[in-house]
Amino acid sequence: MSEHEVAFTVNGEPETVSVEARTLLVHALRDLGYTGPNVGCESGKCGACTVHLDGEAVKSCTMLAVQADGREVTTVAGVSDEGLDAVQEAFHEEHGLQCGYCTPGMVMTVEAFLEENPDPSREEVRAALKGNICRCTGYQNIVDAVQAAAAERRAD
Amino acid sequence: MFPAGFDYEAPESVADALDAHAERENAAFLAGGHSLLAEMKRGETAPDTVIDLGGIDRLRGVGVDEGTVRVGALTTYSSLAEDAPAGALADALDHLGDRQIRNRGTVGGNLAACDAGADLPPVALATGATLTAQSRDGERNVDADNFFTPGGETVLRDGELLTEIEFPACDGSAYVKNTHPASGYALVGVSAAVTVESGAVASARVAATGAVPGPVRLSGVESALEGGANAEDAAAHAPDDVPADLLRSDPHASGEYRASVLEPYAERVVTAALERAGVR
Repeated sequence: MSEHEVAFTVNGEPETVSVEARTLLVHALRDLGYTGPNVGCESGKCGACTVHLDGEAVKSCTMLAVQADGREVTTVAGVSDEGLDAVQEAFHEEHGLQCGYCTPGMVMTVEAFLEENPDPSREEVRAALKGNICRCTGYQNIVDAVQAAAAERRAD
Repeated sequence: MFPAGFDYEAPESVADALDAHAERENAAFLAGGHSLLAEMKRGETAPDTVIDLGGIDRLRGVGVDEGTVRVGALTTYSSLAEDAPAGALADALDHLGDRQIRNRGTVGGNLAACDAGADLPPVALATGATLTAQSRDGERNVDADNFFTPGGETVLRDGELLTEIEFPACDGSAYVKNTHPASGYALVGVSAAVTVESGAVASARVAATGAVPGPVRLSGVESALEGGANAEDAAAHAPDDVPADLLRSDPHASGEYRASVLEPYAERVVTAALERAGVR
């Protein structure tokens, strides 16, 4: 069973790690101490493990760590240099979370979504978050948070 | 859930990928991974070698020429969606999986894996797509009609790689689905493509996914449309068009239910395809 050296950047930091071929990206990240992406359903449905790979939102449980070689990975801890960014702040202000397990994945999907659609309708927000499941909030406050973050980013 | 151990190879050309596959007892090609890695985690398949196609750039790309779409097999759903003209293909990409899956899943992977309820196989059937496969013996083109089986298999041989898909233009096409809320696959989905002469349907191709394990043409619906029936009357044939002995029953829906909802979905998709073709 082959072992591989993976050299990539995580939140701007260069990292090199030796992994078994079967190691999933989410596990490699967590073993390195990047515990933003959570392990939820482990089957590509819940989105708790969402990270950015070269700027695009992907599910890190459905990708091998070795496939990240040479790529740029961003976790929720990498979206802001200092404090909370507009999306994180809005989830806090609008109470867009209860237990918080889905939140790192939600934030990563929303960051990419708002880049593409800075002024989304509620329907568009719900469609964008189809791959991120929350079992606490009923989504109302999450949609509120995304719209508040969008307004905040437009104002900046 | 962890996949069992395996060796990993990342060739940079199709020839190297085919050679790597031939050298191993039980190798698997990895594209976007949303079918293969999930199956490996569930223990349904355990290849000794995973051959990652991600480094083969020539398998990516989209060309659109007068409505005909040629797609490299490794093209992701999201990059094809940027170029796909309005019609069945664009509809399917719009409703496929979710944002993260569309960023990583591939067109060729969807067609080659042919999961039950997958969205692109019925679009390939309805539009009359041609699929190009390469093996160490050479290249061959297979019509979608001969590529899939109702049982959910494809005719790809062991060690053969799907490299390109061509979706031909038509006058109007569409895809609609009843989405399973957790998996994102279609409980049932129907695609239709029509050509029109003098304001009437000259030819119609209609195909369903989800009702039985593989994609199937709805031939009764097609003949009724070609015979001048309206969408509602033609769609009434849909439940009888799928092989009754293969209907899928699982905790989400019975086979009987799946067959029964084919009718309204067939009506909707035919109506949409006819509207796009300018027929009322």
